Amino acid sequence: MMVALVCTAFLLAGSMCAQAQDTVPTVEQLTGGKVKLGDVIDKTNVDLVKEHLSVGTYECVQRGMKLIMGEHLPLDKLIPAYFREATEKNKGKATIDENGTVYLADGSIWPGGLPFSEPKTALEVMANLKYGQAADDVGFSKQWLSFVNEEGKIYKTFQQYVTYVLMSHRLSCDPLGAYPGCEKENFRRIQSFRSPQDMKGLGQFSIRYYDDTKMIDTGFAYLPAFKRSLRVSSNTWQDNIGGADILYCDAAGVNDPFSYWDYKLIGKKYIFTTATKAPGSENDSSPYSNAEGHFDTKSVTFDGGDKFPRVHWALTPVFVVEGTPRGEHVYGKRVIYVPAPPFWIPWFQTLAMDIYDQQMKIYKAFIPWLGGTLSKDGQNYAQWYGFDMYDLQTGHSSRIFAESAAYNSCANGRNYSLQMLLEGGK
Amino acid sequence: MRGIYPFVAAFLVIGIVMLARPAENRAEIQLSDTLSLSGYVRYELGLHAAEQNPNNAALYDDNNDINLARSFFQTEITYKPSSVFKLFANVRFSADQTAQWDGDIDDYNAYPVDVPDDDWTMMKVSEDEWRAEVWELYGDIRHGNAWFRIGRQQIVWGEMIGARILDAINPIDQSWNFLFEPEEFENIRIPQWSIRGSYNIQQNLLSWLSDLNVEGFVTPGDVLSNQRAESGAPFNLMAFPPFFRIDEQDNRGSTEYGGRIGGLIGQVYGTLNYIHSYNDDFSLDFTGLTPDPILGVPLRASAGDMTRYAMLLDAEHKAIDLYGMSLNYAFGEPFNAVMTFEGAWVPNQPYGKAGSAQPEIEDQGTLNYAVRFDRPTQVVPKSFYAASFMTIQLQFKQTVVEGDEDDILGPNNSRIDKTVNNITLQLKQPLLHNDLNLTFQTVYDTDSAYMIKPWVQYKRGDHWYFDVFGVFLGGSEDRPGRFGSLYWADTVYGRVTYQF
Repeated sequence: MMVALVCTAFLLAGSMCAQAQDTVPTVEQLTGGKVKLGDVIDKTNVDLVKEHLSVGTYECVQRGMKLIMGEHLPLDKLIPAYFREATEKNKGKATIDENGTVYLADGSIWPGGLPFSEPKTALEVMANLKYGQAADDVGFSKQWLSFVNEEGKIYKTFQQYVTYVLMSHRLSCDPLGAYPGCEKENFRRIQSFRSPQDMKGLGQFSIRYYDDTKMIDTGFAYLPAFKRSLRVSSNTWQDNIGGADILYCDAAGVNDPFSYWDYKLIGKKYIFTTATKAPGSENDSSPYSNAEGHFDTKSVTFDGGDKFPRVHWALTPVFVVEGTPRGEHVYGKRVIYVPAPPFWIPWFQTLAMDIYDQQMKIYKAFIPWLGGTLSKDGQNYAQWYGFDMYDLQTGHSSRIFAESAAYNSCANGRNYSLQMLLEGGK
Repeated sequence: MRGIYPFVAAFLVIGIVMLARPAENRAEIQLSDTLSLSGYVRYELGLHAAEQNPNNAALYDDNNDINLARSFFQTEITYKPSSVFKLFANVRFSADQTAQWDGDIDDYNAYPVDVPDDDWTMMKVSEDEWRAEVWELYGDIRHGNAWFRIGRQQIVWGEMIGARILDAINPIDQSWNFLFEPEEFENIRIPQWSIRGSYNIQQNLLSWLSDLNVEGFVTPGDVLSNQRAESGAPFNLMAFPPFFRIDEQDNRGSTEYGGRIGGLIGQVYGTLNYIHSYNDDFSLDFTGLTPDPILGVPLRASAGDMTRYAMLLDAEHKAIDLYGMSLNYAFGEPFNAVMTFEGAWVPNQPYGKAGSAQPEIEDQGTLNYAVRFDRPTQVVPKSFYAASFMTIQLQFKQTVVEGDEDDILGPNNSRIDKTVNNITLQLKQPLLHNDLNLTFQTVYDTDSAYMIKPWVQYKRGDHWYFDVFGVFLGGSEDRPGRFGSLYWADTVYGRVTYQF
């Protein structure tokens, strides 16, 4: 315990602890026994854990969010064993350029696994987000985008499906490594709305390149009202997704090319993020969602109307990275909380994000929803349902949520194309 | 009054749907894991905001107040039992009340898209005031890298605003709202029975080329042409001399086909296209004279007096070949804009023959191309009524006629220019989390004519949306086919839609 407390003190000062010493303290240890597992944190007692909350989460608690103190699943329940093995096998082999693009020493592309299991710089932390996908594909067949007004009422919902497939650094599905001829690509993505009727079939197909500085994303949108596909501008990153509080650059955390930002490593610390361990069976793959793809109200209660799901939160080792835009941007800066290995989840690893406006006032809070693990073919994948983006200045918020994430369906990445976009349309 | 019954029936059906839908706040009805239903019911009213349509001047004494009063009920049924097969049907029902509500218009056939009664391919039943139809019905099949869509469908190539350069496969129904729907062609592009196939070529030989795709279609017999409003309808575009006897020469039974190949070269995506089809607009061809069937045999007509004869004309839709290409490219920082090019060369575009005593057809090569720039731009702060980016689109389109333009004639024997240039500006500003959308579109013909289309749309929750939009045309360039000739068509619309 003493080691942990000393370590924590250094962490809070921005020092880095060696991974070998990196045993996650308990909430009791951090609060001197004032807060215990199972306790509920609200605005009356939030100051007990304030230093272990992201700024955005703290502001949400001040506005009515309640956190149940919980814990995480064991590390082997979070990511597949083959990914951990690849990380170990390739440890120390990654080199990184000034734009955060990772190569092997001979200039070839990263073969898979986490590039930096002990990152030392902001670029290395962000490179883990960029190349650290622990499944070759991920999909959400029934994902909802809900709009929550200032009173906490959901007043509008869109349904969509979204699917990503890695085109390189593949570890599980054929072809392993990269699709021949697609070595310059990181992943491909298809998204298409299913409802409401006037948006049904509206979709996007995009290619994220391996070096997103040399090649900006290739993106197309299919507009069912016009039955045609259009090329999409890179400036769309700063636009709202369907009018939501989420910008395209915010989707799943950090979605735009990293080269658009200057990143600075603030330090490593423990913060409360939503817990990977949910009440009930550890083998329940989707303890928080119902078959329709919404929060299951049998297992989750809400505060502030529909605004704040009350779920378990656990202490998580994270790197705190501050990003400032290199060019003109609607945001002043964003502070990103990236898991510190060996803690890791399969995709969308941003565990919290504070977004500031151009006057550097807190603007938005990004909070992802975790809980449960999916076991497939003997491998484990931590569940990721989606996230809420809270506009702290207006009280409006937007939620992306799905029944569950499907990992490693071994979809053919070459079929992620304009043809597939049209198929999803009408 | 016949038209009112289907209208009432449509609302009864939608009422049942509304009552039956789940209580949760969402659109689309999931009937089972594989079967879903969506659709809308809509009422659209277009108020005439200009002078009388000159093409109807011989029929009516007074100007009409209403250009369109129509109710719609549309359902889209999707059956997707697996990831490799999907069945889609779009069933439409609509009823027109324009003539009933406007005393200045006589009854007319509001649904003139017609084929012989024994031609099942249109899948419709209709009267003058209403129609029920299976608008689209197709199956999608995926097999490996190949994908097929088979059935009654719209096939759209090209990506320009309001300009059909490569979008030249399906005809359009101009009979009820001309080209004025905010969705442009979605509701008026007439589906045809076609087979469409696409294949992703997974080649590794050309490292500079990726996402290579070939696509083809064939329409084996279900060939239709653009449909026009009938005489007496508010959007009647034609007024022929009374002695014209026009025989529509359709191409039912003929075959249309085409293909394209597309791919990414670096960051440039391009396609090469070929289409063999029949011109969607007709050209008149003189076939002979006959004694006027109404006025009788011209026994007492003096020599050279043609007023007692009728001129027999075929309205022909000539076969044309279209060779086209498209290119698009996204510029990164600091431009953040997309450039799109689209062009089509038709070597055998039919026109009227100049200098001929009677209507004849003359082919002349014609090039259509357009360049567009799109840029999403923050014009108002996001804090201003929850604004999203404004989409700014600027498009230049030019039509160039090969050879001597004095050899050919346009609609109604109008003179043809060597080049026609149109500049389009479209601005779209979403507000209130995209619940309120303000759109402004203007198309300027550099020969001095214009079309202005403002549009305000407000959405309320998952189900309701309300549109107010207008179309205003004018200018000194008033030859047929140019905006100035439609000075009489200005209309202000209101539209209420409930979607499910």
